[in-house]
Amino acid sequence: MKNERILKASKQQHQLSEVVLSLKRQKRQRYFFLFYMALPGLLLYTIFRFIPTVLGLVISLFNWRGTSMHMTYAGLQNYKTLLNDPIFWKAAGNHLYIFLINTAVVFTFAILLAALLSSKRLRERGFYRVLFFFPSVVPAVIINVLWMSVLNPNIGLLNGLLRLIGLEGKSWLGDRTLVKNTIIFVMAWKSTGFYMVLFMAAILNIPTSIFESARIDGAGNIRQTFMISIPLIWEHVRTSLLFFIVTSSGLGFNVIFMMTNGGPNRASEILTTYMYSVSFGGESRYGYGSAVAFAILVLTSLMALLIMAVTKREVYEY
Amino acid sequence: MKKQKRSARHFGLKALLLLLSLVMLFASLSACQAPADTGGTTVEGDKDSYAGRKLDVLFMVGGQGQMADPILAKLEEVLPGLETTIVYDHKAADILRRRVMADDPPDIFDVNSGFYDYYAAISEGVCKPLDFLYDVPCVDDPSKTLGDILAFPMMTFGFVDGKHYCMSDSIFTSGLWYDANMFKEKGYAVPETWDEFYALGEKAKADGKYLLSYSTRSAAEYFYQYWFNPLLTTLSLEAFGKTQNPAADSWSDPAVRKALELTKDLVDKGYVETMSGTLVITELQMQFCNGNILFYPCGSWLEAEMGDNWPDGFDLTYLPFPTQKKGEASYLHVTGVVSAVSAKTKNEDLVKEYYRYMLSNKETMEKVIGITMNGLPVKDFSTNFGSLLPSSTASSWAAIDSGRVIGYRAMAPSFYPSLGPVINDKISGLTLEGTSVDEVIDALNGIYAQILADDSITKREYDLSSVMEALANYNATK
Repeated sequence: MKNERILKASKQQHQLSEVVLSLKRQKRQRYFFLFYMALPGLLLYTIFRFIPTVLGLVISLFNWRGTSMHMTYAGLQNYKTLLNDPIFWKAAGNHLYIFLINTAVVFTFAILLAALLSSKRLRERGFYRVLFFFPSVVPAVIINVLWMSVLNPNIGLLNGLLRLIGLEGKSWLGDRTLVKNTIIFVMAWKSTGFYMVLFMAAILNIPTSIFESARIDGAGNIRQTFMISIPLIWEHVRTSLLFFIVTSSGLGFNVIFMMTNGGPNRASEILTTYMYSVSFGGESRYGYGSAVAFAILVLTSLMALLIMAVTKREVYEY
Repeated sequence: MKKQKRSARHFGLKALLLLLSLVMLFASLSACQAPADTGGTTVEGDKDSYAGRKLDVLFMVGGQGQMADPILAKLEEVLPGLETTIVYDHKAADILRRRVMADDPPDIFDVNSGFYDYYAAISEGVCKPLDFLYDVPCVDDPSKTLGDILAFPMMTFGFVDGKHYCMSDSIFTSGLWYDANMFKEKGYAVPETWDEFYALGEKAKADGKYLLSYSTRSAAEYFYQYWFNPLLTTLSLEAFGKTQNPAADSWSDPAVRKALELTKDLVDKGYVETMSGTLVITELQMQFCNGNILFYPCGSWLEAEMGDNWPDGFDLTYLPFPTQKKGEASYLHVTGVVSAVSAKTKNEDLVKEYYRYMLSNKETMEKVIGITMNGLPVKDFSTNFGSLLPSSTASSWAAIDSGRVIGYRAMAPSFYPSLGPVINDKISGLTLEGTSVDEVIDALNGIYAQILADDSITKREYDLSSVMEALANYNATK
């Protein structure tokens, strides 16, 4: 009897250890699976993002013309030059101005349009969705050429319309007091539709019962938008903001590079166009250009952290 | 059974992921693979056979068009079995950088000097001195060598320590261009002096036109090279010479101040169309084509560049830059696109053949000029080939040949690339924002002070002697 109990206990222990082993095996398999799943992405990230970033940082410590592998070690000299370079600070100021205002404009309009076009009472909402989303699928180069033609001071559509109603045409891209806001307009026109669609999807996921209850309680459309839609999609807005901040430098570069090349007199120069002009624009100062690139990395990261901290709210579940 | 199925699926997934990883790795490694052999070294063919040999040429897309095509076609015809490769690319400078770093440079390259620092490339040993070409016998007249027929004064770009490193592929003249037909129709007198030019401003304004427009967006080229320097040279050749050599007061000469003040005066009077100067260059040029601007400072590629945009009856004509007094010498910036030979070329014999046909075979030269519509650096070019040029360009070459217009090439922005952005900024400011002449001069002296203080920048002496000599010749024959 005693032997039987011992045998049973030993059998149970053996079964238990087998279960533990099996669990461990499953866990290991799961880790391997996750590793293999992440591997292509990790490889891509390492080869095309991480290594170039580290190389850029190394190059920023050298003076390099880019014509051969001849480099001279400069230590932190490029960073010292950067801190005393008035054009860098002007570009940094323009960069912040354009991206902060552009972010505010894009997200305000995207949220409001998403709320408006999510309404089932608006029968033409499908048409408007396509209309507003359209600029997001048109290649940036075509958009830039299109707007350069619309904004041309002599033969442009905009000045033509202004003259038609008796107003004086403006040099939209050639006047330093106008150029930054003109560029913000073009960038916002390109981006708003994309974020509008993201927010519409989020709003349409909110159960209609919540809106119906609010309506019964007497809440109008505006109140429903500000008290229900926006709070409930806030996490989507934050994620989109982060994505927008990280990607908008690239969009800003191609708009400004094509439309104004940073001019007139650096009035629309941003850090990315400045980085390009000192590196590839004839000056061939690759070490200094890399220092500017590193400053962009720091600035973008700080902006992302700041905006994520400022926009942190309680998450509502539904 | 179920477990087996799951295990098979799991294995399949693993295999797929492994395959994906291998593809990724392979793609990455192939991007970093060793440069392909460009040929020309390994296969030692029969002396008369060029089978297995390859000439590798890289060209930018620019004002010279696809000028290498007829030369390479001729080489393939006369050198049996020779293979040639030619790449024309807007980003040729970037391609060149990558290929030099991968130790796989093309044999011959012609990239935009605005995006590639030729002088750094020369000092870092990327380019080969062209001395090896001088003894090569000409194709049409073997009694002469390339050294005998080359017009060396036209090859100032890339001249370092007594050696030429760059060959001018296409030489552009420059000047103030105007529509001679419109002048006839409107009864405008073609100005010879500054006062006559200035007086025309008011007449143009009364007709709703502008006297002039220049690019502020690309001021370092269009304003500086084709407007400011020709104006400065008519005021003082010595002052121009000073601005080419960095010193604390290079830009403080009274003539520099006067040239800037005269320009600012034109802007203040409303004679300069300033809005279009901020646009891309072709948009500005459309204003000139449309007849809204009387004079446009530009290089001689203008006629070809604007192609089909010239309105019917537009008679593009060269105006020698108006002088301060009648009969004085006028000056013209001679520019061009250049090619260089890689210091690591293993095809020196093929490179010699390339330039031999480009510069001394009439049949090939005519085809090249037909494409570039501009000059080649050979003596008596205007006499022998002037008829092949568009009338606008031909008239500028004829003006140089007459001796009254003296060609020069301003080198400071090429020697010191950091000068260009300062010119762009300050001329935009002077033209559009009320920046004062003093501020412009201070900024230009400031950048020269920085260049002087920077030991990593090679200081090069600009030699004005050939221009002074040409001036002395003109004054003697006047």
